[in-house]
Amino acid sequence: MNICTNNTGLIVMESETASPTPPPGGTLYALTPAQRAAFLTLSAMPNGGITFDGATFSALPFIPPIPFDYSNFDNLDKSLKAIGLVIANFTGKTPAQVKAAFLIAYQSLNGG
Amino acid sequence: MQAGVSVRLSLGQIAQYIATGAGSPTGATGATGPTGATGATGAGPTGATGPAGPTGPTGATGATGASVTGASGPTGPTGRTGTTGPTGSSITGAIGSTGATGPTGPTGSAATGATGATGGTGATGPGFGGATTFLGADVALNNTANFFDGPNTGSIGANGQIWLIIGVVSLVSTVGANVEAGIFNGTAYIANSAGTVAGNFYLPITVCAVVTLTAAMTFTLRAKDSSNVNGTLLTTGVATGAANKATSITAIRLA
Repeated sequence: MNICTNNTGLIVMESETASPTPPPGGTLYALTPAQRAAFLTLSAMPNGGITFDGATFSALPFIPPIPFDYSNFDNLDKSLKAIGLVIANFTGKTPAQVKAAFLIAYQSLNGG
Repeated sequence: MQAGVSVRLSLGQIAQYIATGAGSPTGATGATGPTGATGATGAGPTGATGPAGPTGPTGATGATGASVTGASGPTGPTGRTGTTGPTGSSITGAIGSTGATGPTGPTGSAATGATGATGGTGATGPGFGGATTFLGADVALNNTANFFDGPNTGSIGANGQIWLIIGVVSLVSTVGANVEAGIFNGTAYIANSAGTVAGNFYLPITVCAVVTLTAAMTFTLRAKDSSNVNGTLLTTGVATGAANKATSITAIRLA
């Protein structure tokens, strides 16, 4: 197995048979069977990336994705945002006011 | 007729008896008398001679007689010719070493020689292969103006070769966004596609192309978030999925 690291030692590519080109400052390593086994074991566990210095693998802490915040009007689909702007236009409110009103309305529906 | 025994005769019988004496009935047998005394021994005549007895057992072996060697006889005739014996071993000298190369001959005439015979079929060439490179770490698509590099094929191929390049990207964004994927050959994109990912949903995009190379090339899979800075090119699609298999580029030589 071949792996490529970037200039910080982070493994950015892996291949069983190909020899990918490392990014600038990175390195291409051909792993030994023991190193391959160690890498696959480590990569199968939650991690925030794996580094390799030519001898040792290290897993960076896993950071779970931030839950999607549906109460934030900015996170909505573009078409829903457009509806909010129409409401602001029809009522003479600012987009910020519509956004705040949306948050209150959304939270009032929690559990419902 | 015994006394004391009464016999009834018919008149006919009486008449016949008188006339012929026949017809008188026989009386019953009397009782056996007592055994008489043993008689004196009689002088019989001499019997005839009996038959010869059986042959007696073989007698003991006699003693060895004295050996008396006779005089030598005359020489016998010559015996027959024997069969032909096996072929004897050949004794040949070792082959000598190749002699030295002779001097170059004179230049031949300008006449073109005849076309030589067609050569034999060459050995089978190596089979075409392919390889896949996976993304090893997530890539943040944090600039809406740029494509970000994913995995690449490394330098592959040569002039005239035909390759199939396949790229698969797995994208996610915390907010809805328009995203793109493409295969870059170092100079231009040979394949490109786009899609819209909803917030915190995964979106796969596959791009592929068959290319005829003019030289060895490196193909790189790239992705871009055109809407915001929240997109991510994923190395692993979901937490329970196979690690580091979500985004890849594959190169397969076709000819």
